[in-house]
Amino acid sequence: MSRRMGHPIQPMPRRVPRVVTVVAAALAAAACGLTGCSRPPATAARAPEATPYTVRLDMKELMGHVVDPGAWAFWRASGTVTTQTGETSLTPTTEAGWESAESGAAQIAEAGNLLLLPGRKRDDGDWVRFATTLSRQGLEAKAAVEARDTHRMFETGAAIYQTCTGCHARYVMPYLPPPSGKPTPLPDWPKDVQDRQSRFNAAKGTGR
Amino acid sequence: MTPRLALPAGLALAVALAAALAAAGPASAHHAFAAEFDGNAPVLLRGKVTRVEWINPHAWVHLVAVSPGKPDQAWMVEGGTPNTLLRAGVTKATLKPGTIIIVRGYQSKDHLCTPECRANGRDVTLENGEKVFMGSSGTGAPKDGADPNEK
Repeated sequence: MSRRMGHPIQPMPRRVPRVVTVVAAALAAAACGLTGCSRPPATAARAPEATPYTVRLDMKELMGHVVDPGAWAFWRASGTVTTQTGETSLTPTTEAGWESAESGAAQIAEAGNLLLLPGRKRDDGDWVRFATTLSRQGLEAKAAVEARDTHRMFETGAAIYQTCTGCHARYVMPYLPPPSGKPTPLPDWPKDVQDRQSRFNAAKGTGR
Repeated sequence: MTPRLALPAGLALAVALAAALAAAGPASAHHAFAAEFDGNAPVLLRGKVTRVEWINPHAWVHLVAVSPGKPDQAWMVEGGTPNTLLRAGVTKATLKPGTIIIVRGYQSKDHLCTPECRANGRDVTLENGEKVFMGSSGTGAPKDGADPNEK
């Protein structure tokens, strides 16, 4: 046990009851857990064992089952809907609603780490920057939910989307098949609308 | 292990992502433009705003479009993030229900209009004549000149 925990535990005197030994060992283990046991083990020369993680979920599944559900759980918890009859807030009204938003934020934070696993990480530059930004924003989102700060939740939600879009623009869009043929141009504005735009621009230009 | 980003893998990812996202409805739209909208189906809609969803990641503007000789038609038009719209000058005050707007954009690929037709909004002219970009940059939307950030 002492070797596993990273530092030797002095042998207990034989007269000490066995139950005390067990309790002492448990306390030492707990303390070790709190401090992190940063001292190097006596057998530091041993080669580190491989971490048995798996990246069997491909990027589509990671996005569809982890990132998107987390993002949506968070996004859905802020904002408003305005109609002729007034405005409705999407802020959670129940503990379950807040919990869902917080869990979504935590998912986003951890998703950034998942994107950095070898086998998923595409490079050491922009990919890492996007992934770590996502993690940081996920933690900010979680903190905003914990503080019940809907304004911060809304702002952080927008920032998370910008990170998603930036990453997709860098790592997805360039690999999409080019559109077949040229897109059809947008229609011209009708004459009366052009006149209205001209009047607005003229007024803006003269400071009126 | 040094991971590689081979083109086929990236292409497969993009196609898979696009396919997965295309299957999602408007309420969960978070996608590349080409996954859901038709770059060859431009629309110009003029009508009264009925409902505005100020939600991330996209604001949605609902309106009843009027067109001479045609029955009125309900549309829901996807915009950028609410923050993007606010920075561009579109606010809850300028886009409140009842105001008349003129929107240009592209219809959804499915061309379905049940319960509402759907479109990706590119720019909008408000009642005062101000023209504003209302989309998202970097989604692969056509380079139509509507996006001031377009490269």
